[in-house]
Amino acid sequence: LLADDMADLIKALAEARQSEFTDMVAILSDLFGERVSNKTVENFMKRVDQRSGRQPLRAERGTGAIVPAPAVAAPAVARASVEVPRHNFHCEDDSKD
Amino acid sequence: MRGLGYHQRPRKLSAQKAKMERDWPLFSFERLTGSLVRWTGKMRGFQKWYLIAVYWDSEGPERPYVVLLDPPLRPREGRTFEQIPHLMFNSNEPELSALCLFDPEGREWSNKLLIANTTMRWVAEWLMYYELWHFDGIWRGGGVGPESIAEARAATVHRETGQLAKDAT
Repeated sequence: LLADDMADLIKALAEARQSEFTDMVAILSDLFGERVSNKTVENFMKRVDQRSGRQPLRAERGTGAIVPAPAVAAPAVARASVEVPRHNFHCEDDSKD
Repeated sequence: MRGLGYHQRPRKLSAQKAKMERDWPLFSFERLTGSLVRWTGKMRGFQKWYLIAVYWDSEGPERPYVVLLDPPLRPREGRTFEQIPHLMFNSNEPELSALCLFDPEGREWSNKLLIANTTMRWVAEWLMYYELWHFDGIWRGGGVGPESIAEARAATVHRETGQLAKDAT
């Protein structure tokens, strides 16, 4: 029984790893309960908000996955990633043409 | 712009292609009609993998156009495409709207720069913020001007109504 539970857990976590953030939060809520997942998301968003615009992000070479700020301190991670050049997102409306 | 390797002249297609092959091995190159080229491949957002296409006219000054192929661009539940942040909005086919990755007036991109070093990394950043935006509707990536076309259009209507009211009095 325990082995089955562990297999289900691993399967669900693997699915979460490939899902969009919204779906990942739903999977974590199913596994660990809403209170735990909400708290985790809240802490994560707080960290993203604190970091936002303060320093350039880094993206993993080849895949583009954004590297979490604490991980960049590790030389191997820093070497495997590249800095995202500073820029400003914008928007344009074709109906103005 | 500091930190970017500006070249004296526009980068040749061969240089763009070589750098893309080196830095983004999951992308494949294709020559379309005339000088129009396309790179197609996978990139990881915050969690999910996205199949994207980068269109570029290799002989013109125009920026590369990046569209999401799979999963395609989609609004938040119950909302509209116009509310998706930072797009070059395509009214006829909103799901094919390109990502608006920089401010053209800020001269943040030119064809003297390498797409692999600029556009592609900005796409990675856009995808991460897009995924987080889908979760709670907050765009955390910043930007200049209105956040979305819906916001821009609302501002225009507001301005025009204000002007009409002013003219009437």
